Amino acid sequence: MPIRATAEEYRQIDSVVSQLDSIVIGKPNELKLAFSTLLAGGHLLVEDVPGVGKTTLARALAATLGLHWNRVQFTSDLLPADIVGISIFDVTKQSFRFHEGPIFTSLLLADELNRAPPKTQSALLEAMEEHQVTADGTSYQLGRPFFVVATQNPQEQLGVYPLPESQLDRFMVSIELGYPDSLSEREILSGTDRRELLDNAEPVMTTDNLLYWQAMAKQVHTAAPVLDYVQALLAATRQMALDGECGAGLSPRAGLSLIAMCKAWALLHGREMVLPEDVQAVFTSVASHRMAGSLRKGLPLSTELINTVNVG
Amino acid sequence: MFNRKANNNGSLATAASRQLTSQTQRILGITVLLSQLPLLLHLPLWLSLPGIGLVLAKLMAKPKDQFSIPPALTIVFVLLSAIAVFFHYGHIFGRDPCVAFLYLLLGFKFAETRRAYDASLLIVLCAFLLLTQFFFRQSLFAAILSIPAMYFVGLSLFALQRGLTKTDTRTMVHVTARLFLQAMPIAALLFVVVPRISQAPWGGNGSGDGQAQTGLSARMSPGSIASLSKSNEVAFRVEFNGQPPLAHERYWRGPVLTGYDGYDWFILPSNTRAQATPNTNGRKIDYTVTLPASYQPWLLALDTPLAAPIAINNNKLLINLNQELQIDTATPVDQPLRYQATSILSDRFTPATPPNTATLLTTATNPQARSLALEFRTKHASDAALANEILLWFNREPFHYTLNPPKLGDNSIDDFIFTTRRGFCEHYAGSFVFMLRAAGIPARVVTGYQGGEMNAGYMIVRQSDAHAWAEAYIDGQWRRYDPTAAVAPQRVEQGASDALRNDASRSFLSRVDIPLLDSAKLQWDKVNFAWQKMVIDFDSTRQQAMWKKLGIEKPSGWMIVVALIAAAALWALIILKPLSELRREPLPPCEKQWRKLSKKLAAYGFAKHQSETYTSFVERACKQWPQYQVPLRSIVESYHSGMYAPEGGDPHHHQQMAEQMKSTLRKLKRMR
Repeated sequence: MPIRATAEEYRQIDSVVSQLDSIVIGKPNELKLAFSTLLAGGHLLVEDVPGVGKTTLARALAATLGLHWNRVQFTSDLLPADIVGISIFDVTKQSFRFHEGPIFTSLLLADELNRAPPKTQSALLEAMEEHQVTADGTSYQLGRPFFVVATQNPQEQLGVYPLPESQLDRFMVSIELGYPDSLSEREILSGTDRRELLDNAEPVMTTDNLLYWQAMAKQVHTAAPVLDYVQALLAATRQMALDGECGAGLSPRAGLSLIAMCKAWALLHGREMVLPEDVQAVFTSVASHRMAGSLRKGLPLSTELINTVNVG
Repeated sequence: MFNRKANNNGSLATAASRQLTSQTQRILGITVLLSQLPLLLHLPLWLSLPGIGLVLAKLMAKPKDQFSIPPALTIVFVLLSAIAVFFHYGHIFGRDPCVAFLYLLLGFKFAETRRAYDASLLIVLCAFLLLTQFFFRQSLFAAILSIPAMYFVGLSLFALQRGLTKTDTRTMVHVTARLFLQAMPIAALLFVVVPRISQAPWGGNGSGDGQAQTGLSARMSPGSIASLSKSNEVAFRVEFNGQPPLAHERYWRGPVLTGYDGYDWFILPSNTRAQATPNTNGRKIDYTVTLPASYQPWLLALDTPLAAPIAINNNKLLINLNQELQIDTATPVDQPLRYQATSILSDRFTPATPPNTATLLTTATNPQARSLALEFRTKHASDAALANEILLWFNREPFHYTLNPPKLGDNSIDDFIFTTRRGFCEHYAGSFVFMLRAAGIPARVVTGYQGGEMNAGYMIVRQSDAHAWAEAYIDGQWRRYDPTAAVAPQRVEQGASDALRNDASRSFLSRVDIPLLDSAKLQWDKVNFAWQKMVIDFDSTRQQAMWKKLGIEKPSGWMIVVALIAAAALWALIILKPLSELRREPLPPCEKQWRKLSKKLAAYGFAKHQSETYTSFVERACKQWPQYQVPLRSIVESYHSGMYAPEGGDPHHHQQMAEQMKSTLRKLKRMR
């Protein structure tokens, strides 16, 4: 018998969403997707130009959920040790001591991930998948929750190492923030400084709360008709790949991600069951980057699928 | 007695002694009424009205009054009605009195029915009573009339069992209708396969039972054919092998009337068979006649018949072609008969033996006609010229062809040809034959039909085509003379209805041409004829022919039973598990309700796109019908909850949601 959250508890989720909304203006859907990714235990890839609020998003999440966060700016000379950490010889103790890198945190903002060489990228990706890092033959467990928000800059194509599709699969969700609409922009320009807001933001949730909600998200029910629909969508992406319209069909792992995302999305909306509209709401963000290597290229394809595959 | 037994017999018996609900009572009442209805056509009114009245009285009575006749009184009533039936019919063992008595008993039985076991008996009786109407008539109309009653018999049976299952009325009506339709092929198979009985079970000759007879008779008096002509009933139908005869060749030979008593012409009994084929020339024509039961011992054939026709569906009937070329049957035709005949289309023939003296017999009456004939005789030595002279005379003098001739006195022929001069074919034929005989030429009256209407490949001959003409023995040949044609030539070329178009005695409807009505009548006749040929005429002979065609010489009873069981089992398999259901699982109740909503909205041209979610579809609908936002949203919520909620909880959750959807859907009954 699954444990059911009370209406009182659900209010906590609502207040997280509303606080996020008040910090990042005019992006309610993207915020919900980001929060859902966190609830689903996945990682988030943001494809966007600088200055549209990627950092603000990550920081807002961290501040609202009471998470410790770190930021790493990826460059072409960044080494794996710069992320994971390094063993330093402690002269006083006559032994090596592991100096934890920025990855040992709850929320890691990996800025411009595609600028780093593949070796460094894969160090991060291993940590994302395995929830542990290895340095000098020793494995170190990462804490929970562990949430990576990576950004890719799609405009500068010089001197970048674009993530291969197989690696992109590690990101549960990719979103695009985009420029705010004029009303929201006016509010940003005229209102209080975001940084000030972030500094003053009180956490609405504790880490324990977040882990509880992550557990709850797993318990959201997906009925057979929903699974039918998900399978139909997966099959359609594979057909598309066969027809040469996109790079790759969705893997079963992607399917699992999609289900997890649907569950988190449903939970976010106070439901104990996944509805077809949940699938539709998250599908493009889960599928696009996997199908075409980037959100930009994949979005029209995944949208087409949503508009053609039969619901129920 | 039944009561005590019932009470000792546990649950089943208590079900049988259960009181009927008022609804079951009503259904039973309608069943009884519908079963009685067809018999209204065949029973006297004094009997049929009380029978229906008993049922109506019980139906109308308020349930709490418990209308019922005390048992002692019932016995008295039943005895009284038995006596009444006996007095009406003069006997009690026969088709009519038995049916009448059963009809009345059914009314009494219904009036005293209160319990389930009474009702089961009543239903069986209803089914039997329904059958009895076919003792009278086996027409398509009778069959159609019995369909609603059969359905209600099924419905009553269902209603009796319903107390145990709590089915709602709508389901009951639907299920019964489905069972009814599903049973049809089996019924049709039973009809084809079960051995046919070639004789009616009550012993054949039903003509004594007060059957109304229309058609030609053995006697012809002035006015008898005219009154027959007013009937539009079908006399018989004919299918031709090859070209049908032309209008002036359509002389259907019936009784030949040689006898004359001064007023009536009648058949002189003649047992002599035609010794040899009559000698005649002309086109030979083969045809099949379908004759309804005429209750007369003769058949009709085109002039001139060559030999006795061969009955197709009755091999026991003896058919003779007698010397006068009248086709006699040994017994009256008391069931529909089909026979094949061959004729030569000719108006004269040479008989095997010369005519006997009876064909010259006249009476002492009608002196004026006699003297006129003798006057003609002196002018013409030749018989043919004399006959023509008389015809010419009819044509010249102001004779009038009418269905409504005035009354004639004792010297009826004198009255007619010198005074009234208004008459129908029998007047002309009778006068003509009288005058020929007076002039010493053997002659006789032939009655039958003249005409016929083609209807999609077969010909309908009606009673209104009834006709009488004359035959004279001239130069060793019997020659046909139609004095009516001398007076009203269009009678032969266009038929009686055209010739009498302006006759005042005909009803308004038959005088006016209504093409649509006429063609509808012809269509109906076509259907009736098909029914006759395919259903009524399907007798043991045709059944055996069918078996032979299938390569079975004579199937044994066991073979038929086994084949029937196999066919029924196969059919049951088909209808119990439709192929589509074998492949597909049944729809969940919520999905069913959802489809109802979709159907409703689709009726307003509003449909869900394939890839649209239920929520956005309903939101779209809400925009179109803002007044129904609440129920529409509630439906989609229930649907989601029913279809997608975790199964672990309440096992009835889905059903409850479906019920909710159903009740909300009812609120949407009339969307605009």
